[in-house]
Amino acid sequence: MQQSLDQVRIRLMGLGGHGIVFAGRLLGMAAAMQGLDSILTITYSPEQRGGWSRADVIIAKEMVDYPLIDEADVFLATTQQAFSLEFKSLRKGGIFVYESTIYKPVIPNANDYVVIPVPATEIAENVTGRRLMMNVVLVGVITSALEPLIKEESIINAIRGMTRRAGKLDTTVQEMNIKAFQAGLDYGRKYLKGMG
Amino acid sequence: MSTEVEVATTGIKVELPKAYDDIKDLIRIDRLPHIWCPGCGLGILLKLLARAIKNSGIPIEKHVIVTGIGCTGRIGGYLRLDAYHVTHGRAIPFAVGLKMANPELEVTVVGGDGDILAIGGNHFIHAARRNDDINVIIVNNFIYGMTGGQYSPTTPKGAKTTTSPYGHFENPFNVPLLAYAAGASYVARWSVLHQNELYQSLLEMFRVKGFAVIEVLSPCIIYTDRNAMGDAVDFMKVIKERSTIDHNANLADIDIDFSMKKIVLGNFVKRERPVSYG
Amino acid sequence: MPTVAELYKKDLDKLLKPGIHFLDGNTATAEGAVTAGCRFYAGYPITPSNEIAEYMSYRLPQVGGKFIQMEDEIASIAAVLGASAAGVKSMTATSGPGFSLMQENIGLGSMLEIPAVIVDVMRAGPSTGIPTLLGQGDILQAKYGSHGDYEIVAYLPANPQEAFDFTIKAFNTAEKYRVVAVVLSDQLVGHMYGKVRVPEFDEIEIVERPKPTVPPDQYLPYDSKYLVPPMAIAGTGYRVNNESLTHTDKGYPTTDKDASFKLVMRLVRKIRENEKEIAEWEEYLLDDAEYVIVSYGSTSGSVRRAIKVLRTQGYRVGLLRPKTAWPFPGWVVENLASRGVQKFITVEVNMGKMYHVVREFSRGVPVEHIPYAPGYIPDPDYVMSNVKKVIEG
Repeated sequence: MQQSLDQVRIRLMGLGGHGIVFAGRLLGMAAAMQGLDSILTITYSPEQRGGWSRADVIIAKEMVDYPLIDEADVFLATTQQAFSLEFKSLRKGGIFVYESTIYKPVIPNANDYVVIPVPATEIAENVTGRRLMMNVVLVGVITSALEPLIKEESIINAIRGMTRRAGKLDTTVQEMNIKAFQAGLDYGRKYLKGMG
Repeated sequence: MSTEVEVATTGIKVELPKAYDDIKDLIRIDRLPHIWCPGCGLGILLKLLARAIKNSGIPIEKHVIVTGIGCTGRIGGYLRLDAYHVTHGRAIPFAVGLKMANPELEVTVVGGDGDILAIGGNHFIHAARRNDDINVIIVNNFIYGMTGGQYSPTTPKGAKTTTSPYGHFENPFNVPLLAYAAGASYVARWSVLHQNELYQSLLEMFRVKGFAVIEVLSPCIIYTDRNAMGDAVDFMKVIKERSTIDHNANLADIDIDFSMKKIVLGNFVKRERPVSYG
Repeated sequence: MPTVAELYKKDLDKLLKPGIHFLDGNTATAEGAVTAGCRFYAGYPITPSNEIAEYMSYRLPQVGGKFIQMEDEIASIAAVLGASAAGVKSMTATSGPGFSLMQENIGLGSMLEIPAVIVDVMRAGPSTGIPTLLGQGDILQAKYGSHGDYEIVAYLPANPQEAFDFTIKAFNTAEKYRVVAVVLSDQLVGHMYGKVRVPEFDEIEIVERPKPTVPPDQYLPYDSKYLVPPMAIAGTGYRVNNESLTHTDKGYPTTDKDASFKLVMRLVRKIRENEKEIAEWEEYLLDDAEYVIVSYGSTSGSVRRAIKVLRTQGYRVGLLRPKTAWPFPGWVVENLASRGVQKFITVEVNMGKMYHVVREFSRGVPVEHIPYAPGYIPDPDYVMSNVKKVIEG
């Protein structure tokens, strides 16, 4: 409680390997580059392989104080397990995004939430040929819901600036990520327009 | 030409023995007399080490001595070199840091059997495994001298010490075998009686690239007293009479037991192995 | 004072670029170290500090530095001191159990006056505790962990930005005063990602250890006419005996009363007499505060949130956040106490550590501790309800 609306709290969760942390880093980095403050905390299940991972991003106009999320404004779950474990943390009126080719959640009181099903794996495969880029598609969808707080160009810049231990992503991977992101952004914009 | 030295504790001036003339610029004469007991072998090592450093072909200022705690740990303080007297057992990792940070340094660790092989034992085997390019001189006197004569990792089974009044129960390390097995590039064992061989071995140690270990057998009256072995001179006599030199000895077969019936010395190992850094 | 731009001219393109980054605290620590000129790292794997070692093993070779994973934490700090003695800025990182193992050689670093930086990413204790979760239990150990009298400096970052900034500060302070400087990070700070603004290189000041200005024959390694004597680097011809035993100005072991006392006095004076220059803290809503919460590191974020809410409910509470645990800004506490503060309340993830330090300076004003040590920081609700309890008695 008490995390007021001067902050957006985003909880991303899925299977290890779904690129949940990468997605969180993109959102956090984009916010930081826009002059906002952002904090990302990561939690893993105890298994070294095959467990869930969770990335909580707080984006704020002022400095983030309490760095953890007790209630989410946006919740992304790419697996049934993630949905089952953490759907409860989404506040009423919050945005729920899920990967609709992986599972079909049964959402209690679905009308209390903005629900966005995304066939992200399909979109990623169609646009980039790589199913794995579904995480970036989902970042696109979340961005569409957060605009104009988070801007398209910031995420693109974040993708270009993203480094890994072994250095930057190579340019072709960067471009694929940007395509996947834009496809997700389009999808989200259209979906939200349709709802409006 | 001899050098006059003022004995710090008494203010009396004495002449430095001629044997030290060639290395007097390497000895902190203002610190003499040293703290070692009469009969201790460390003075001989000090002289030989200084001489070897002087003739190593490596600039004096590039030599660094690192020592831990114990009688042997005091050797660095008598050498007019960059010397680091550090915590008990930690001379080797300190030396590794020095060498990695500046590979031009010639870094030599001098320590006793307790310092290097007990409290510092883990560092010893890992530095040997990595083959860090440093030198380690282990002065083996079979006992903890400075703390009053407790048993050490090289105390032979049966020996009496202040902590083994009924005779020691444990087996000692075979130092050259340990050093070899852990990966040292160079392994030798000499005694302070074998001054020529030890001196040559020290020079060789400076030439070797990689982890170089010399075990130096040295008398300690704390040890000999406890075990009715006479004085340091008697101990030297034992070494003189019973030691054999065999550079090709089977290292598994060169333990030194309490009877000291067999003491095998030599330059046992010299091999090329990749060095960790530098 | 020279800056990164002047000192590391040829490496500038290899450093983390000025501007905005989004880094985890551990990586920010490592980048801070590299920016400060750290070129040697020795460490031993321990959760939750591992990202620092992993990152340094990748990063240091790019800037001409060296990395080694030692056989234990004792070896790690010994190697760090050795490398620094050879003139290279050096660091290790660890967590509670490893920090305990390093204590003896923290004493060595203090005695030989070798600058070194230790990052302690604090985790829940005691003993092996909970490796993956946080604690703030090493506060007193950082200062009092080794035997004898000495002084260290310890910083308390609360987020990745401070992890970056304070690591640079730690190097600067270590070099300036020839002491061991500790960055007391914690699991949450180490693992959270946050915005890190890297200043322009000509804005980052770098301090280097004082160097001898006299020739070797006139040089005294522990010259007591200085508070911080110039430091000769191994291999530069000064041929110094660097002595762990209590020593004279010349570096010779001594049991002389005067020389011994003079040495120990100097080792503590060099920090104590400069505490106002070194200590850093933040004051938040303290001007009219009747109740002062003292909190630091990741916990302070939760406290700040709690204070915001408590203020809306009419409670006159404020935050004193030490950014340096050591030296502790005790005079700030004293001034608040003299000004008529009702109570000090310490909120930290332990059963009372900085609590004792605040008491030392509170001049009779009551100090209450809100204990919390489950491996997490307290949430704002927990802080609020317990602060209310303290206030309402």
